Amino acid sequence: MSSDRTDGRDPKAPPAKAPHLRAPRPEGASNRPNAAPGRTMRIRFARTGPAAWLAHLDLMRTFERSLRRTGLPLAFTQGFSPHPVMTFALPLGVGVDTEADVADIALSEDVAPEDFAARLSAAFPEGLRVLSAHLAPEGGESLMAAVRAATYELSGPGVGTAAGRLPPEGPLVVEKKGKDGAKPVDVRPLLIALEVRSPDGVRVLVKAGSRENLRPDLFLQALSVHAGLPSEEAADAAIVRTALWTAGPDGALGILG
Amino acid sequence: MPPVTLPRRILRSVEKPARYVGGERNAVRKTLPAPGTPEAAAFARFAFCFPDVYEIGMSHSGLRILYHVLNRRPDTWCERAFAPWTDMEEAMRREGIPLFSLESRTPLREFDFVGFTLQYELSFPNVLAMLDLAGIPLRTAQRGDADPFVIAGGPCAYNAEPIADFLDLVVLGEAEESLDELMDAYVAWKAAGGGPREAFLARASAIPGVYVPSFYDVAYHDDGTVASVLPNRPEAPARVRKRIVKDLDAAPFPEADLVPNLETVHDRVFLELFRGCIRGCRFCQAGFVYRPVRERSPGVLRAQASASAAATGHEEVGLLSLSTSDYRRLPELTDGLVEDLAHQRVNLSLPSLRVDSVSLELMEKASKVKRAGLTFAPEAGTQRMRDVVNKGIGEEDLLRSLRLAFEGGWNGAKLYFMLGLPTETMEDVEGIAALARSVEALWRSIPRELRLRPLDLDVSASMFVPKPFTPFQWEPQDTVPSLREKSRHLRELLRGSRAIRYQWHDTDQSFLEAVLARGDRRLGAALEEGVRRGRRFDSWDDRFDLAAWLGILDGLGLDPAFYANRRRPYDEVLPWDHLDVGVSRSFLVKEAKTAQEGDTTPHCREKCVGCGAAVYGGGVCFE
Ligand code: SF4
Repeated sequence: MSSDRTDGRDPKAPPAKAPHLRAPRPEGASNRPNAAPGRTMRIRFARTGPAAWLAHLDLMRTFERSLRRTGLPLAFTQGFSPHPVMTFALPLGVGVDTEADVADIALSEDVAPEDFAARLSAAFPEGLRVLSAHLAPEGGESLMAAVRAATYELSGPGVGTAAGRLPPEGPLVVEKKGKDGAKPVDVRPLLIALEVRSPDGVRVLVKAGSRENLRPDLFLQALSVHAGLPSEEAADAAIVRTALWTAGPDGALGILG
Repeated sequence: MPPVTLPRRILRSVEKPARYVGGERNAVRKTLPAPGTPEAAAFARFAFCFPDVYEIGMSHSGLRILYHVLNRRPDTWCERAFAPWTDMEEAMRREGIPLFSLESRTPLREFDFVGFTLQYELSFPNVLAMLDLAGIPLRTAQRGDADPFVIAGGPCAYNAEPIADFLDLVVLGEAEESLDELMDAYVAWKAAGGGPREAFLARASAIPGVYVPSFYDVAYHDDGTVASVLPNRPEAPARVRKRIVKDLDAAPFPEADLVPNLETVHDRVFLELFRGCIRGCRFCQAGFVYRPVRERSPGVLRAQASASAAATGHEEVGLLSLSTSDYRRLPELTDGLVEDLAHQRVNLSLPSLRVDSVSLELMEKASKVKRAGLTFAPEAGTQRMRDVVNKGIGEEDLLRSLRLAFEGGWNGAKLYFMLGLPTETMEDVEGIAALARSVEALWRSIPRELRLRPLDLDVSASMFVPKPFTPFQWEPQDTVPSLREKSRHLRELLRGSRAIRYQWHDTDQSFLEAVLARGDRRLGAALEEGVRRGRRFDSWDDRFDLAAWLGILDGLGLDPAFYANRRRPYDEVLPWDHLDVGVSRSFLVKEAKTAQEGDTTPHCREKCVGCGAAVYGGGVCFE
């Protein structure tokens, strides 16, 4: 009600934002972060409630702003638009809760992990919480490359019963909708283990990460296509990621982070 | 009634579900007083509605300021609602979910107030669609004592007559103070037992700046023009005058501002340098209705920037005002901000600066923080036309600024123009192309080693829409075929240059905008019918359908050209003549005549021309 333009211009046109017009960079600008070695904080975090409906990019922006609100000594990228340096282990789907996600955040000075966890939790919006924090090990595989598998708990009327009805072997083909239409995907080879917890709940361990990944909604679709779960129930089921797994030195799965 | 539940299957089926769930940082949740207690009887719930999608509404500074103003009251809880996109509206209607607030998911019809900000005329249909989805009777006459009071403000409230039959209350001008007074009156009235709606409206109409449309009767002549708008109750003043905040330094500012869930159009901390504009460009409604200019001091702005960046985590601070370069202490302010924000790793983004005062120094300063694209608004292509609209800049000013910019490393700019301005001829249209070509020639004259990238010049044309409370309020809008022809001609002239990109605003939308901008209450029936037939998001060019609207207007015997394309005599009663923005009608007539002569008028700091806004006793008029 104060001073927005009312002269007949398109109200949605951003006035001073023309991304195709690049301004010059100052000399010596680069995107190299000023992170100090050995100062990367690894956190486990939970999300639920309204935050569960943020898409991955929106979640990253929310993290960035929360980090800025903490006032902690963060490492920033260089250049015109400095950003905190963060890595997420595995993107979360829209409408998926988590109790076990992992992210790395680079610091410019030492911070006690407990302080870090408390201050970030306090700066988060509704639905996000830091579960634990510790310094990330130096070197080694990147967080994203380390992910091998994920556990999901799926619940809703009849979800467990339907999971129990899935044929024990053979392909479980579903339609994965993408930008260029639907593609058939066989869920079976991506499914590592399945445990019916109650008539209304199932826990699945599935392949996850940048190489092979099963989205939990595709598993729900398999329940609907191959085990008679009404598609409305499949669309309505609660999805919680309860663990992220990496491969240990012996090749066995170990909890990530 | 319990809060609305949103099944996951709905949120999973719609685009951008984060629009509908709330939970943002700095969103306000309050505990409601227990029902039946005296506290509950003296508590007000206000749903602040923006009649467009979340990303647009959350960009709006007025919403964020008033959210803060209302929520700092212990006796009031202000929540938000936005227009659900069509996919969500369909799902809600299918599942019987009424429109709800984001904070507590309470159905809107349970609120004491449902308030809309009217930022553009084409959002009027969405206002009605939101009321309908909320289950609130559309017309004030149909509402009962249990229904909320529907209130509106914002720039289009200066002529809200087309939706006046749907609004219980309208606040004119800056609402920071009047809204507080209104809530005081409401809470007192409610605590004393309430009563019939009219009793509260009568009290409200005594508050300066509060307009109760149902307290005014409109009579028409046989030719369809307005004969009179007269109060029908003793409490209602003959004229309602807009409110302003005299001291901007003392005006409330939301440091802990809402942090949106989704990327919004203006996703940054906003600093309001001043309100109003000294310039008086004759097409610009904002330049008149926000008079007089009042500035905020650099110290206050710097404190606001730092505190707000810290409380929101925004990575950018933007300057907000109608003509930033007219801020008298701009260098002092930007110096200070650059220094403060560098520590916080926050960018300062400079908005378009006025071409006659863009200084190399300021640009250099911006380079330490962030350089945005350059935008200039010459508005017209020839000096004659610029004089008619009182845009006091010349071609040399523009070219001089651009030379500095190009030498400083910029490779492009965006130039804004208007088509269909009063007295415009094809020669003026051709002047736009000539100006763009001069910029191209200028670019070629810059030493090659400074031209690291090819030139990128945006020429953008919008269609002139005559607005109330401007010197052009009596002018006919150019017709759609003529505007189309001008735009086509301009496109032809600009074709062949790879450096120039021509963009234009939809002529059809501008036509309906012109109908509504100077419309009267009879248009309400058309809006109602449009919404019944599913018209939504008319400000989105891909959703707009002029033919549908013309069919509706025709069916109701309403002639759009009567509103848009007719020259109105100076002595005609205008539908908004009972509203008062401080600027006098006689001044506007004088300006209109000066424009016809092709003469310019000095701005407020060159010479006060006695526009009438001095009645507010502050700002630039008393500097
Ligand atoms: S009264 Fe004079 S100084 Fe004040 S706004 Fe009008 S023209 Fe400007």
